[in-house]
Amino acid sequence: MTRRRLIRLLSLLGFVALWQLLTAQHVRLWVRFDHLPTAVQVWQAFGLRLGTAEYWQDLTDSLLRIGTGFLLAALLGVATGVLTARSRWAADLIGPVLEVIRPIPAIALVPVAIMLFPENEQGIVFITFAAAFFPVAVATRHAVRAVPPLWEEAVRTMGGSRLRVLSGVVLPAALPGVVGGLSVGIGVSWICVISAEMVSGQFGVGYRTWQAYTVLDYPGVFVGMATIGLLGRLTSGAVELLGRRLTGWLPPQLGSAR
Amino acid sequence: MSLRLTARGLSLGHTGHPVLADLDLEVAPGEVLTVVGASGGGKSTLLRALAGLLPPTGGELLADGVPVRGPSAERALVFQEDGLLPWRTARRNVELPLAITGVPRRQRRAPAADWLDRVGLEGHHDRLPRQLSGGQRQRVQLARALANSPKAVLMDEPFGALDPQNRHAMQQLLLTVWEKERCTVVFVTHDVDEALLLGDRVAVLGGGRLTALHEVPRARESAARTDPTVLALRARLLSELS
Repeated sequence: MTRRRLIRLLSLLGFVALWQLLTAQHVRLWVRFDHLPTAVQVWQAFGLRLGTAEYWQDLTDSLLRIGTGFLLAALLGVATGVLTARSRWAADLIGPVLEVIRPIPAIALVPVAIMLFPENEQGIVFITFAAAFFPVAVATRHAVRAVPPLWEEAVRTMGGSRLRVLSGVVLPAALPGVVGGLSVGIGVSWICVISAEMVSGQFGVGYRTWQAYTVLDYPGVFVGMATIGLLGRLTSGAVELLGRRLTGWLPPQLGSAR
Repeated sequence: MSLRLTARGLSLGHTGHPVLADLDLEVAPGEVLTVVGASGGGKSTLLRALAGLLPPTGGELLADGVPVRGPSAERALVFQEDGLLPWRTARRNVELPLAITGVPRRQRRAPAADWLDRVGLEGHHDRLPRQLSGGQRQRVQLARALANSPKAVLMDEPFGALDPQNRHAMQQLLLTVWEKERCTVVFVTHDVDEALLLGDRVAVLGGGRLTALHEVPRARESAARTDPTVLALRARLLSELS
């Protein structure tokens, strides 16, 4: 346990050390590390940024956007997935439209978002929502279809209603699959909230990162990237944790990260 | 409390490919009827029809003279495989039928625990199904089926996957419980000895039709394996099945 933790810590530290080495020594091996800021420079810039109110404003803005978009996507995605899996009528009615919209990258919806919503803010939330919605809906649909009919029959022969079957069998049984969709969804959501902020944002980590690039503040760019990485890890971790809590009845996985 | 189950000209399946064809059968209240037959002979289909899960395509199906229109809590079903919900503990699985019929949360615990003790699962109430053996899971299924005092219990090869010792223990447990509850039991099995041990009557199903119906001529307590009339019936059943 502690040994594995140690190795993981060393993995991160080794990465930073290698970065410092390559940039401080101005290594040029076809790719040019001499243009990049050193790890120490970024560390110092990070320290300074942490002291500014602006940094925390960006952070809360981005988190609020992804939080809202992801929550909406989770609710509507699960509802859509269950509906299309359980009702042929719903599958025929909304399935084709969804299948046509699904291949469009959420970030390509930026023009639509700008035209559709009166404010940038809502547009960014919409992009974030669109990004997470499809992984959640598709994972839910597959998970619901894979629920063994035996469990449903058991509850029905106890006199259980359709609603009881849905809430007491279908949803819990599909939960492991839904959690998989949520994990993918939160990852894609991050990519899209940052991209959308870069294109059309005011405030937000993505906006600030791009802003730093346009004024040639390279350590600032890396501070932004590190922030995105850490926040992404944090939110994915939160979803993972929630997922494990909700599906504690599953047999423990061999070599699971705990 | 027990139920009279009646099938009159019961048919199920497509016209070209009937699973059950023109089946007449009456199960008396409080009777244990065992059903044997080759696989694909319609045993499971008959049971699911009796449970109300499969609507008949012809004829009629009555419970105490009232047409069966769908599943109901008065006819409990026990499956061969794991019909337990894997995210619920043994106790919460047994509480489920009580919850569905609207028993308040606090009043479910005691009867559920009581039933688990009766099927020999003291100290295992809070285990998840995956933490129980196959035999223990079938005990939980039995407790769950009986928790709501159904008038009929429909069992689909419930002990088929168990090893001989476990199967024997479960058969004895079922008889003990049935002596007390006296509900109607329809028990599907592919094991002739099991059918003779448990059944008041044995129905033979083949090709979707009822091919034979035998009374089992003995008091249930007597050793079924040595009684000459039972042995003769056993030989006859085996020949009917081959």
